[in-house]
Amino acid sequence: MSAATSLRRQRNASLLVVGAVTAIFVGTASVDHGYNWDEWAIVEAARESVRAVEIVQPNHGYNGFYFLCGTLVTFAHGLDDLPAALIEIKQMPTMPFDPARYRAIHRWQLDMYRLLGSEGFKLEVRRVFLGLSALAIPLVFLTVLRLFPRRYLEAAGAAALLGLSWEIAVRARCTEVDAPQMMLVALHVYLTSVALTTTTRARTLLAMLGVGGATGLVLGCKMTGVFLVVPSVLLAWAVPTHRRASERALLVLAMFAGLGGALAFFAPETFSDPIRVLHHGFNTAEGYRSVQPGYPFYVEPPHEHFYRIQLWTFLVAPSPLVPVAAALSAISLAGFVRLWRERRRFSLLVAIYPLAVVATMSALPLLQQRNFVQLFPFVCVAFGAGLVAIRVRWPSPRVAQALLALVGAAMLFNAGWLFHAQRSVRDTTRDTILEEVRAYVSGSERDLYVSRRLHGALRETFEERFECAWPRTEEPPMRDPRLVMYYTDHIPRHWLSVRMGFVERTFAPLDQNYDWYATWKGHLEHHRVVAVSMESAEEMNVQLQAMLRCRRR
Amino acid sequence: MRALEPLLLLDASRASAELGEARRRAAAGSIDASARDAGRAETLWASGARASAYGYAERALDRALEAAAHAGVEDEALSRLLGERWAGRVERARAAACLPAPRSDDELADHHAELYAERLACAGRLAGALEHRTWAPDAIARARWVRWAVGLGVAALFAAFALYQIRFEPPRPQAEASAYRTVDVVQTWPPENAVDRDEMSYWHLPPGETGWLELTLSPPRDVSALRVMNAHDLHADDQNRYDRRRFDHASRAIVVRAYAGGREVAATEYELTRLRALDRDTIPLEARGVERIRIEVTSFWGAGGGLAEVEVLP
Repeated sequence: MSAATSLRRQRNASLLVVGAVTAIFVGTASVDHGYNWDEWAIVEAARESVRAVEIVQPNHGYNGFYFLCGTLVTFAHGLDDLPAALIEIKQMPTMPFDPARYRAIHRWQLDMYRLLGSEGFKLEVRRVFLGLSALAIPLVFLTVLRLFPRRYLEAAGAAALLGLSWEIAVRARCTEVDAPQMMLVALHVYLTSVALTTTTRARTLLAMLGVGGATGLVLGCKMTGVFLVVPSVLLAWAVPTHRRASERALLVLAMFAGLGGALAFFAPETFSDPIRVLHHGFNTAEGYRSVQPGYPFYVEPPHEHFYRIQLWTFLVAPSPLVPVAAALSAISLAGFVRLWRERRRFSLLVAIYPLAVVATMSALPLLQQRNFVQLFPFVCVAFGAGLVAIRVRWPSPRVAQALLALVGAAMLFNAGWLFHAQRSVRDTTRDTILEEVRAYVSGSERDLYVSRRLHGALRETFEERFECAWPRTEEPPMRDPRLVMYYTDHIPRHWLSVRMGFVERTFAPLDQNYDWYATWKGHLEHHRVVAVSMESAEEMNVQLQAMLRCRRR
Repeated sequence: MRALEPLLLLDASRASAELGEARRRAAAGSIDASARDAGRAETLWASGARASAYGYAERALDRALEAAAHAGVEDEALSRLLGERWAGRVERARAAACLPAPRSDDELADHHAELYAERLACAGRLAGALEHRTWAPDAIARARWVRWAVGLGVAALFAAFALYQIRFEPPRPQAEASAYRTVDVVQTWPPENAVDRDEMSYWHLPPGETGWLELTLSPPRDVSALRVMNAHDLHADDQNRYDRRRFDHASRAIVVRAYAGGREVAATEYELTRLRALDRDTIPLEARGVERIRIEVTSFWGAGGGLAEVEVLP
């Protein structure tokens, strides 16, 4: 086979892989994943928008991009009422503007109130977030391809790492701004690579405008976007096409024009209501600073925070299986080295944002892993670079085939897990959970501490295999015991999160990685059963006196 | 026939046969060399070595033109191979060879960058157009088989999907009910919820009342059974923030009647259970040319009757 044919086949195969990965990412998303405690914010904001017939948010809980997604859904539903409303307004343009005067608007408002009260609205908004987040997959593909031209399979591998990550999929299907922000950060990285490698000055100028736009969009999602301004400005000094000071100043101006334009469109309150926006920003920062030990997401800053971020990024996010995640991360680490050696300017610029985010967040005692979803595209791009590094270091076709087989197997496992999780969210009920717990209890060789409610639900199983009694003052020690109980048998706010392996086993739909988000409600919160080690139980201050002691017969 | 060329590869076999083995190999070698040079050029450009990349882009186009010469595509035949527009672009890119090349990255001006991109584009286009002509006869035969197999496979998938849509996806019935539960403008449980294929939306009767749900089938069709999912409170935690009573509706005894030509043609009684998992009951109901089906709820579990989903099986 000729080199040209081989390259064409690789290109076609990589496009097929990226398409399939995107389809799996969107198709297995389980947007109907239950109750999201934070969703009221977008529903209430949309309700307020409908009441006032306004797009700009009067109350700021998050930056504008988040609310805009909800408002877009409601206004999309009103498109068919728009002509009638405009005709009525033209006929009766009275001041002040009172939406209730116009029948078409009133009819639309009633329809929207009905929509906002239904599950349908939440699902539609979740789909918007999911669709936006899915764009990160082709963006990672294009970035690797831009940095390492014609390395189609390596770029597809990087895209697959992102698109088949369960952690990313879980966050992308929620009404949370973090996953769309991740996509926008990926867009920024891609446009940075374009600005550095494009051919002409006009294209560089356009790329800088885009970089500014992406910076504005990230800032429109969360305040951490402000850290992107620095690399966006420095980029003007790094592009090869513009050398003179005046030319660089023009690039910076273009970048700020893009930034301002994006903010004006997607987060207009930044200009219309800057004091409230800043107030919200400081309030959020204070909230992150003020958590105390015992709070589920509390970590010791900075070392423990930093350590757990790295744990999640390199051992959890790439794959649900830790050894697989470790192997994939090893390739990413090789990729970081490759990027540093071969794409020095790009690496220097792009490293500023993740380092600033990690440094800032590590100084705070509150860790929520969703804040670090936006860093995963960097790991994925490095993964692509790592694959390139291995191919360059060992050019033998056998090594290439072995690499393809190993990475392919890991990705197949990740894809399989996404399908498994989707079925789990769809099919898990109270009864299936109890069936699993019954199997666990029956197969366990250990003694168990069991909550009264769980014991009542599985009375026959416990009576058949265990001797259960309330704790007495004098009794022999239990054999390697575990605590098994419903999640709600302990005070929900005492469950410790962001700790890998803290809970030995969770019997629940796979709508969340409960190691990292133990207090998530989701599906069937009241029926979720957990098995924890005695050390974990002690750390959470579980009252063991209130548990039945079940000794194996 | 032109449209089928990607599957038939007639031009490719004819050209390959006309070229002869030696020229075919020479053309293939030049195309490979062009692709390698283009790859080097892009990699160097991405790493910032732009002046070196410029040289490789020039070589890539030269090699592609060399391949065209080996393949017997002379200057005037370029427009037949590539079309007028691309032939013109190739011609201009070649003519620009007289421009002095930049000796360092600092010397690389905008027009060099444009020429670099243009040369790569032209080299890629030319190599792509010539590629089929340089395939060996057995490679062409193999490619033909693979393409036919893939084409037919995709066509079969589309046909199966279309057939399924036409044959097995009859239009959804219209649903009406004797009454339905409403709390306010937002919280309602209308009869359409029983035919919306959403297991998490329900038709509820008003609390404490019995009543009926009627499905109108248009056009009339033969029916073998109904598949019914009872109203349920599974996943109720997710929807109502712990107010489970809101979902405490489920039908118990039901009577199903089928009507055709304005008269009852089949009827059956059935007792539904309270759901513990998302299961459906299949209720036999053999009838031909059914226009409407009425499900009468004569008793219920909990606070009132209701159904989550009703499916009419052909």
